[in-house]
Amino acid sequence: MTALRLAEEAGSSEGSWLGACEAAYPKVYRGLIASGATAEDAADAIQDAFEQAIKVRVPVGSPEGWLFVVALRRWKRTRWRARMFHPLIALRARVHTEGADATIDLLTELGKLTERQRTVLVARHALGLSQKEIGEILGITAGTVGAIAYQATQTLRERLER
Amino acid sequence: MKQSFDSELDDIFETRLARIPVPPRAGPRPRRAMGRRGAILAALVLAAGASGTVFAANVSAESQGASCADLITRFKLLTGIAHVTYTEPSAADLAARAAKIAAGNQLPQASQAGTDGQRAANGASITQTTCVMDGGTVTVFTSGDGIKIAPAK
Repeated sequence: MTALRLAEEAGSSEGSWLGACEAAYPKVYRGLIASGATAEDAADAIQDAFEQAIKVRVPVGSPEGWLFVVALRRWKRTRWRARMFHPLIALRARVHTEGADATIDLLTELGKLTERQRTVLVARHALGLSQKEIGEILGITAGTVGAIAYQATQTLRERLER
Repeated sequence: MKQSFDSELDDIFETRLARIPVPPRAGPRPRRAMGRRGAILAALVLAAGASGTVFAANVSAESQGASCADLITRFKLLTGIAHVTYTEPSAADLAARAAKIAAGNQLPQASQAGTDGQRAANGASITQTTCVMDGGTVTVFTSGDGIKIAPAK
Protein backbone atom coordinates (compact mmCIF):
# COMPACT_ATOMS: atom_id res chain seq x y z
CA MET A 1 0.00 0.00 0.00
CA THR A 2 2.77 2.38 1.02
CA ALA A 3 4.89 1.28 -1.91
CA LEU A 4 1.96 1.88 -4.23
CA ARG A 5 1.48 5.39 -2.85
CA LEU A 6 5.20 6.11 -3.16
CA ALA A 7 5.14 4.91 -6.76
CA GLU A 8 2.12 7.12 -7.47
CA GLU A 9 3.85 10.11 -5.88
CA ALA A 10 7.00 9.39 -7.85
CA GLY A 11 4.94 9.14 -11.02
CA SER A 12 3.13 12.39 -10.35
CA SER A 13 6.35 14.22 -9.42
CA GLU A 14 7.94 12.82 -12.56
CA GLY A 15 4.95 14.00 -14.56
CA SER A 16 5.07 17.44 -13.02
CA TRP A 17 8.84 17.57 -13.62
CA LEU A 18 8.41 16.79 -17.29
CA GLY A 19 5.46 19.19 -17.45
CA ALA A 20 7.60 21.93 -15.95
CA CYS A 21 10.32 21.18 -18.50
CA GLU A 22 7.73 21.41 -21.30
CA ALA A 23 6.51 24.74 -19.92
CA ALA A 24 10.08 26.04 -19.79
CA TYR A 25 10.74 25.14 -23.43
CA PRO A 26 10.03 28.57 -25.05
CA LYS A 27 12.13 30.43 -22.47
CA VAL A 28 15.02 28.00 -22.76
CA TYR A 29 14.84 28.03 -26.57
CA ARG A 30 15.04 31.81 -26.64
CA GLY A 31 17.79 31.74 -24.03
CA LEU A 32 19.86 29.47 -26.25
CA ILE A 33 19.29 31.73 -29.25
CA ALA A 34 20.40 34.68 -27.10
CA SER A 35 23.49 32.67 -26.17
CA GLY A 36 24.39 32.40 -29.86
CA ALA A 37 22.89 29.09 -30.98
CA THR A 38 21.21 28.77 -34.36
CA ALA A 39 17.53 27.79 -34.43
CA GLU A 40 18.36 24.24 -35.49
CA ASP A 41 21.12 23.82 -32.90
CA ALA A 42 18.89 25.19 -30.15
CA ALA A 43 16.06 22.78 -31.04
CA ASP A 44 18.50 19.86 -31.17
CA ALA A 45 20.13 20.79 -27.86
CA ILE A 46 16.78 21.11 -26.11
CA GLN A 47 15.67 17.77 -27.51
CA ASP A 48 18.81 16.20 -26.05
CA ALA A 49 18.13 17.94 -22.75
CA PHE A 50 14.57 16.55 -22.73
CA GLU A 51 15.89 13.05 -23.31
CA GLN A 52 18.22 13.62 -20.38
CA ALA A 53 15.30 14.93 -18.30
CA ILE A 54 13.37 11.71 -18.96
CA LYS A 55 16.40 9.65 -17.94
CA VAL A 56 17.18 11.68 -14.83
CA ARG A 57 13.60 11.66 -13.43
CA VAL A 58 14.77 13.65 -10.43
CA PRO A 59 12.93 16.94 -10.05
CA VAL A 60 15.23 19.85 -9.25
CA GLY A 61 14.38 23.30 -7.88
CA SER A 62 14.47 25.15 -11.15
CA PRO A 63 13.45 23.12 -14.24
CA GLU A 64 14.16 25.99 -16.64
CA GLY A 65 17.63 26.48 -15.13
CA TRP A 66 18.40 22.76 -15.30
CA LEU A 67 17.10 22.47 -18.86
CA PHE A 68 19.01 25.58 -19.93
CA VAL A 69 22.33 24.39 -18.54
CA VAL A 70 21.98 20.87 -19.94
CA ALA A 71 20.92 22.20 -23.35
CA LEU A 72 23.74 24.76 -23.28
CA ARG A 73 26.30 22.03 -22.61
CA ARG A 74 24.86 19.88 -25.39
CA TRP A 75 24.98 22.79 -27.79
CA LYS A 76 28.58 23.62 -26.86
CA ARG A 77 29.55 20.00 -27.41
CA THR A 78 27.81 19.97 -30.80
CA ARG A 79 29.48 23.25 -31.72
CA TRP A 80 32.88 21.90 -30.75
CA ARG A 81 32.27 18.74 -32.79
CA ALA A 82 31.10 20.79 -35.77
CA ARG A 83 34.22 22.95 -35.58
CA MET A 84 36.40 19.86 -35.45
CA PHE A 85 34.80 17.82 -38.20
CA HIS A 86 33.05 20.40 -40.39
CA PRO A 87 35.10 23.60 -40.11
CA LEU A 88 33.75 25.12 -43.33
CA ILE A 89 30.10 24.52 -42.41
CA ALA A 90 30.70 25.97 -38.94
CA LEU A 91 32.35 29.04 -40.46
CA ARG A 92 29.47 29.53 -42.91
CA ALA A 93 26.92 29.22 -40.09
CA ARG A 94 28.86 31.79 -38.07
CA VAL A 95 28.93 34.29 -40.91
CA HIS A 96 25.21 33.70 -41.50
CA THR A 97 24.42 34.22 -37.80
CA GLU A 98 26.49 37.38 -37.63
CA GLY A 99 24.63 38.76 -40.60
CA ALA A 100 21.26 37.92 -39.06
CA ASP A 101 22.19 39.42 -35.72
CA ALA A 102 23.16 42.75 -37.23
CA THR A 103 19.52 43.84 -37.05
CA ILE A 104 19.12 42.85 -33.41
CA ASP A 105 21.26 44.97 -31.14
CA LEU A 106 20.88 42.97 -27.96
CA LEU A 107 21.93 39.66 -29.49
CA THR A 108 24.90 41.29 -31.22
CA GLU A 109 26.05 42.92 -28.00
CA LEU A 110 25.52 39.72 -26.03
CA GLY A 111 27.73 37.95 -28.55
CA LYS A 112 30.57 40.32 -27.68
CA LEU A 113 30.53 39.35 -23.99
CA THR A 114 32.46 36.40 -22.60
CA GLU A 115 30.66 33.08 -22.58
CA ARG A 116 30.20 33.07 -18.82
CA GLN A 117 28.92 36.64 -18.75
CA ARG A 118 26.47 35.82 -21.52
CA THR A 119 25.25 32.70 -19.74
CA VAL A 120 24.70 34.56 -16.48
CA LEU A 121 22.86 37.44 -18.16
CA VAL A 122 20.64 35.13 -20.20
CA ALA A 123 19.85 33.01 -17.14
CA ARG A 124 19.02 36.11 -15.17
CA HIS A 125 17.06 38.16 -17.65
CA ALA A 126 15.71 35.65 -20.15
CA LEU A 127 14.92 32.83 -17.72
CA GLY A 128 14.34 35.00 -14.66
CA LEU A 129 16.54 32.94 -12.34
CA SER A 130 17.86 34.33 -9.07
CA GLN A 131 21.60 34.66 -8.33
CA LYS A 132 21.38 31.70 -5.99
CA GLU A 133 19.72 29.50 -8.62
CA ILE A 134 22.25 30.55 -11.27
CA GLY A 135 25.07 29.78 -8.85
CA GLU A 136 23.63 26.33 -8.16
CA ILE A 137 23.23 25.35 -11.80
CA LEU A 138 26.61 26.74 -12.86
CA GLY A 139 28.42 25.40 -9.80
CA ILE A 140 29.64 28.80 -8.59
CA THR A 141 28.78 30.94 -5.58
CA ALA A 142 26.02 33.52 -5.61
CA GLY A 143 28.64 36.20 -4.94
CA THR A 144 30.56 35.23 -8.07
CA VAL A 145 27.32 35.29 -10.05
CA GLY A 146 26.65 38.78 -8.71
CA ALA A 147 30.11 39.99 -9.69
CA ILE A 148 29.87 38.51 -13.19
CA ALA A 149 26.36 39.92 -13.65
CA TYR A 150 27.51 43.36 -12.49
CA GLN A 151 30.47 43.48 -14.90
CA ALA A 152 28.38 42.15 -17.78
CA THR A 153 25.55 44.58 -17.09
CA GLN A 154 27.96 47.52 -16.99
CA THR A 155 29.54 46.47 -20.29
CA LEU A 156 26.15 45.92 -21.90
CA ARG A 157 24.83 49.21 -20.60
CA GLU A 158 27.78 51.13 -22.03
CA ARG A 159 27.31 49.49 -25.39
CA LEU A 160 23.55 49.80 -25.56
CA GLU A 161 23.55 53.45 -24.46
CA ARG A 162 26.26 54.39 -26.92
CA MET B 1 20.22 53.40 -10.75
CA LYS B 2 21.58 49.88 -11.03
CA GLN B 3 18.20 48.38 -10.15
CA SER B 4 16.46 50.56 -12.73
CA PHE B 5 18.85 49.46 -15.44
CA ASP B 6 18.30 45.85 -14.36
CA SER B 7 14.57 46.20 -14.85
CA GLU B 8 15.23 48.07 -18.08
CA LEU B 9 17.42 45.17 -19.19
CA ASP B 10 14.61 42.78 -18.30
CA ASP B 11 12.34 44.72 -20.64
CA ILE B 12 14.97 44.82 -23.39
CA PHE B 13 15.43 41.07 -23.12
CA GLU B 14 11.71 40.45 -23.13
CA THR B 15 11.13 42.66 -26.15
CA ARG B 16 14.03 41.25 -28.13
CA LEU B 17 13.47 37.61 -27.29
CA ALA B 18 9.73 37.86 -27.97
CA ARG B 19 10.67 38.47 -31.61
CA ILE B 20 12.26 35.04 -31.84
CA PRO B 21 9.69 32.52 -33.09
CA VAL B 22 9.64 29.31 -31.09
CA PRO B 23 9.11 26.21 -33.25
CA PRO B 24 7.13 23.26 -31.87
CA ARG B 25 9.33 20.91 -29.92
CA ALA B 26 10.99 18.36 -32.18
CA GLY B 27 10.34 14.69 -31.55
CA PRO B 28 13.04 12.10 -30.99
CA ARG B 29 15.48 11.84 -33.84
CA PRO B 30 16.20 8.36 -35.11
CA ARG B 31 19.05 9.61 -37.29
CA ARG B 32 21.40 9.87 -34.33
CA ALA B 33 20.90 6.20 -33.44
CA MET B 34 21.35 5.32 -37.10
CA GLY B 35 24.52 7.39 -37.24
CA ARG B 36 25.90 5.71 -34.14
CA ARG B 37 25.10 2.29 -35.57
CA GLY B 38 26.77 3.28 -38.83
CA ALA B 39 29.87 4.46 -37.00
CA ILE B 40 30.07 1.19 -35.05
CA LEU B 41 29.66 -0.79 -38.27
CA ALA B 42 32.36 1.28 -40.01
CA ALA B 43 34.70 0.77 -37.06
CA LEU B 44 34.10 -2.98 -37.16
CA VAL B 45 34.70 -3.14 -40.91
CA LEU B 46 37.87 -1.11 -40.49
CA ALA B 47 39.12 -3.34 -37.67
CA ALA B 48 38.32 -6.47 -39.67
CA GLY B 49 40.11 -5.04 -42.72
CA ALA B 50 43.17 -4.11 -40.68
CA SER B 51 43.43 -7.52 -39.01
CA GLY B 52 42.84 -9.19 -42.39
CA THR B 53 45.69 -7.22 -43.94
CA VAL B 54 48.02 -8.12 -41.09
CA PHE B 55 47.01 -11.76 -41.43
CA ALA B 56 47.64 -11.64 -45.20
CA ALA B 57 51.06 -10.05 -44.63
CA ASN B 58 51.96 -12.77 -42.12
CA VAL B 59 50.82 -15.56 -44.44
CA SER B 60 52.67 -14.02 -47.38
CA ALA B 61 55.91 -13.66 -45.41
CA GLU B 62 55.71 -17.16 -43.97
CA SER B 63 54.97 -18.72 -47.35
CA GLN B 64 58.13 -17.06 -48.66
CA GLY B 65 60.16 -18.33 -45.71
CA ALA B 66 60.68 -14.86 -44.30
CA SER B 67 58.67 -15.29 -41.14
CA CYS B 68 61.55 -13.74 -39.24
CA ALA B 69 60.97 -10.41 -40.96
CA ASP B 70 59.46 -7.55 -39.00
CA LEU B 71 55.94 -6.25 -39.64
CA ILE B 72 56.95 -3.47 -42.01
CA THR B 73 59.08 -5.85 -44.06
CA ARG B 74 56.14 -8.26 -44.18
CA PHE B 75 53.97 -5.53 -45.63
CA LYS B 76 56.72 -4.76 -48.14
CA LEU B 77 56.80 -8.44 -49.11
CA LEU B 78 53.02 -8.48 -49.43
CA THR B 79 52.96 -5.44 -51.68
CA GLY B 80 55.97 -6.60 -53.71
CA ILE B 81 58.24 -3.73 -52.68
CA ALA B 82 60.71 -6.19 -51.13
CA HIS B 83 61.81 -9.59 -52.45
CA VAL B 84 63.23 -12.66 -50.83
CA THR B 85 66.49 -14.28 -51.86
CA TYR B 86 67.52 -17.62 -50.44
CA THR B 87 71.15 -18.24 -49.54
CA GLU B 88 72.85 -21.37 -48.29
CA PRO B 89 75.36 -20.28 -45.66
CA SER B 90 78.94 -21.28 -46.27
CA ALA B 91 80.74 -23.68 -43.97
CA ALA B 92 82.69 -20.77 -42.53
CA ASP B 93 79.42 -18.88 -41.83
CA LEU B 94 77.94 -21.91 -40.10
CA ALA B 95 81.07 -22.42 -38.03
CA ALA B 96 81.10 -18.75 -37.04
CA ARG B 97 77.42 -18.85 -36.09
CA ALA B 98 77.90 -22.04 -34.14
CA ALA B 99 80.80 -20.49 -32.28
CA LYS B 100 78.74 -17.42 -31.47
CA ILE B 101 75.84 -19.49 -30.19
CA ALA B 102 78.19 -21.62 -28.13
CA ALA B 103 79.51 -18.42 -26.60
CA GLY B 104 75.95 -17.55 -25.61
CA ASN B 105 75.35 -14.85 -28.20
CA GLN B 106 72.54 -14.55 -30.62
CA LEU B 107 72.89 -15.51 -34.23
CA PRO B 108 74.90 -12.99 -36.24
CA GLN B 109 72.62 -10.50 -37.80
CA ALA B 110 72.86 -7.31 -39.74
CA SER B 111 70.77 -4.32 -38.79
CA GLN B 112 67.02 -4.80 -39.21
CA ALA B 113 67.40 -8.54 -39.01
CA GLY B 114 65.33 -10.92 -36.96
CA THR B 115 65.52 -14.58 -36.01
CA ASP B 116 62.91 -17.19 -36.56
CA GLY B 117 62.15 -19.22 -33.50
CA GLN B 118 63.99 -19.39 -30.21
CA ARG B 119 67.68 -18.88 -29.67
CA ALA B 120 69.33 -22.27 -29.88
CA ALA B 121 70.16 -23.73 -26.52
CA ASN B 122 73.48 -25.37 -25.93
CA GLY B 123 73.54 -28.87 -27.32
CA ALA B 124 70.59 -28.30 -29.65
CA SER B 125 70.87 -28.31 -33.39
CA ILE B 126 70.26 -25.07 -35.27
CA THR B 127 66.93 -25.36 -37.00
CA GLN B 128 66.22 -21.70 -37.41
CA THR B 129 66.61 -19.32 -40.29
CA THR B 130 67.96 -15.84 -40.20
CA CYS B 131 66.89 -13.14 -42.58
CA VAL B 132 68.59 -9.88 -43.25
CA MET B 133 66.79 -6.89 -44.66
CA ASP B 134 68.99 -4.91 -46.97
CA GLY B 135 67.20 -2.29 -49.02
CA GLY B 136 64.54 -4.07 -51.04
CA THR B 137 65.90 -7.55 -50.50
CA VAL B 138 65.27 -9.95 -47.67
CA THR B 139 68.02 -12.56 -47.58
CA VAL B 140 66.87 -15.78 -45.94
CA PHE B 141 69.61 -18.10 -44.79
CA THR B 142 68.29 -21.58 -45.07
CA SER B 143 68.30 -24.08 -42.26
CA GLY B 144 71.59 -24.96 -40.61
CA ASP B 145 70.51 -28.45 -39.56
CA GLY B 146 73.23 -30.71 -38.41
CA ILE B 147 75.29 -28.21 -36.54
CA LYS B 148 75.59 -29.31 -32.99
CA ILE B 149 76.46 -26.84 -30.33
CA ALA B 150 78.84 -28.09 -27.75
CA PRO B 151 77.38 -27.92 -24.25
CA ALA B 152 78.80 -25.16 -22.08
CA LYS B 153 81.57 -26.25 -19.77
